[in-house]
Amino acid sequence: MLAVLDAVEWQTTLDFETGKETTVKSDLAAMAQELLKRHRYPGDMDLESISWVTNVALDLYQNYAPQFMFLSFSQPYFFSAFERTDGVQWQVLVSLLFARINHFIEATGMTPVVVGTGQMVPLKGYINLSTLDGLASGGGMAPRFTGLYKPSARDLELVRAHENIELVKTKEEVIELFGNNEDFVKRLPDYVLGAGEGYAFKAFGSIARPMHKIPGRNMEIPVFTPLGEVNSITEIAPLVLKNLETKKMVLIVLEGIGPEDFLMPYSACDNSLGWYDYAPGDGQYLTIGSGRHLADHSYLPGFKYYLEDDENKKYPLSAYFTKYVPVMIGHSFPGKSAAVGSRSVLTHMASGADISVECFARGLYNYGTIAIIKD
Amino acid sequence: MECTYCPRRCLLQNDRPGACGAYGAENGKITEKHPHRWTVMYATHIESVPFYHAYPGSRSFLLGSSGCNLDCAYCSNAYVAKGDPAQLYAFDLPPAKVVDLVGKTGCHNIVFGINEPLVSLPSLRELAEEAKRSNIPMGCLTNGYMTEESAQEISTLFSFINVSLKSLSDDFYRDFTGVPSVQPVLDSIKYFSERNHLEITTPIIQGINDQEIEMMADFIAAINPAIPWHVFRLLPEYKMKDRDYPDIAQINRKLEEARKKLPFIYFSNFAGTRWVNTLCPHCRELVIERINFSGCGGKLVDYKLHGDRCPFCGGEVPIHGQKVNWNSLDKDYKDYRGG
Repeated sequence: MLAVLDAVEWQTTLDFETGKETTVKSDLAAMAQELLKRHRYPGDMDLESISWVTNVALDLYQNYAPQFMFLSFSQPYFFSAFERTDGVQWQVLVSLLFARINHFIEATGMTPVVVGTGQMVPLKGYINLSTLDGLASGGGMAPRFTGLYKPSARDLELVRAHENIELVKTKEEVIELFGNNEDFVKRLPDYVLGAGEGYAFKAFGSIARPMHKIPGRNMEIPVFTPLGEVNSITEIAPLVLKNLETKKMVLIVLEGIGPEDFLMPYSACDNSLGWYDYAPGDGQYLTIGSGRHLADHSYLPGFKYYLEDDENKKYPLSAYFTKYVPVMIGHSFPGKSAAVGSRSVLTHMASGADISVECFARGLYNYGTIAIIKD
Repeated sequence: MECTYCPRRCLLQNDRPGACGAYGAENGKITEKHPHRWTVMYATHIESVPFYHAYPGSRSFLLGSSGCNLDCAYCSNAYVAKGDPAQLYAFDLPPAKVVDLVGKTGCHNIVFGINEPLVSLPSLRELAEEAKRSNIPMGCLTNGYMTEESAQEISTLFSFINVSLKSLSDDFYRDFTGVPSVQPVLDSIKYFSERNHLEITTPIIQGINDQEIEMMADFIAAINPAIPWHVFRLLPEYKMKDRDYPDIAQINRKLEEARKKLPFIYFSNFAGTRWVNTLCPHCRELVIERINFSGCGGKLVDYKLHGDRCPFCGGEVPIHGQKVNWNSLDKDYKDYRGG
């Protein structure tokens, strides 16, 4: 795999597995270089980034002619999480978002499956786990699930009695729900904690940037497609794959959009597995993109993100992922595929597309754009 | 009473803190308003901080509080550095608990970053005492704008220090950081260079301080040409978020000249940069390889030095501390790997 990186008026091509510069060339990489020059990413907190996704997607559609496309829009999530948007500003964002999606669908004639990742809710408060005797791992933007390692009896008493902690699950209970996939199980903490709606955990690894809204407990999410009802998050990918036999399909993920803001007719789609509901992030994205629950491709929140990040870690541009599990639509579909997204790494991870163009933003800092090209 | 931490020397009163918001005065003593309140704690590569010539390969426990004594117009952490501490979520953790977490997360050292250590100095003093008992080295990033007394204390608490040298001009410091003179920063650099492991970081704002690259290189070379210098392309943020991105190729051309004076110049804050490796200053062979996938630092991927010696020519490449393996202190790593 190759990665063409555009750091704004400066480009380089990297071996995607090692992160090192390479002189290997490909037609798709050459196309990506020109495409990235034409489309500078405005930034996570810029409404223009909504149009950036559709503009790049239309450019790719015209120049690569994919039969499958994957688009992701993260601006609704970032704006509601990090900005105190008033009702009018929010409506402007939502109207623009759906206008751009409709424009893309009309311009390409692709058959859409549009997924909202769920409603955001006002942050009620944080649950501080830093003073426990054991180690709580609080990575992620607003973790509603987190991991607890080697807790003391006092810790367990505290978390079980905490009024805003809804779930305390043992590793065995997690395995019972998700199965015994070795890669998944080895990353599990001793306990998984789940916060009540409106609450997020604060612990080692938490970000400091203030948040205003966080993902709700969305047991259902809205899905629109002219192909009929979609009942479960794991039915999305099989539906797209099946219809790719006869149609050009586009799978569109709208982060931070729930039923209240979904300006299309939709069916309520189950967004859970037992007691676990998916929040925007790797688990939900990769489940949408693969049709398999997260144990097959990603990690439960609360794993120790740093353990595998040694000198030999592969795919340094894919955050903590150390390998690609080839179960996404782009892996299974033999035809041409392309992805564009403003949720950085998750665009290529969840699509498996021949070419994935994504923002290179980290922690809301805009470092440019990247195109990942599959061999 | 007058604050002695930074050259602003603010007049402190109990109900009126100084410019940084961190200190008040009570009964004739300076008091820290938010002791042992940390906004950030996570594990990261020491190279990402950045420290390229200290404890290579180590896992750093990155710690931050809130507040700053400068008001940089381009601050990339304004939500922490300039935010109201009362509005920020923070962990109240005594030194022993921080050190406990350092051990539980398998970190080799503590690095205070994110904001200015000067605004949490009494807490850091206590933390350093606790860390010393556990043989945990401490380092920090600082803007260097401090009094001589503070420099003495910082030098004692932290064995490795990275000072941000933003410019050599008073005009720059006045216009973009809100203080009248660069001199205290230059004094701090000289002071630390004689006592600590020192690295220097400079954010480049094109059209504003890029013309100073050569002069800054001369300044550093005159102190010690072996000081690693991290030049990073500034992402426009905070009050300067509408500025354009600095031109990487143009800046690097200027750095090429400076590299003739300073062998350890690094250029980053953009992914994919090829200027994060260390070449032996004697034979020019690649001796430490890093990659950058965001931020102003990097990540170690290959280390060829034998101690502080080049394996190709035997020449010295100054390194503070030993190279360590990422998981060498992580007690849980064995379990994780399956025994």
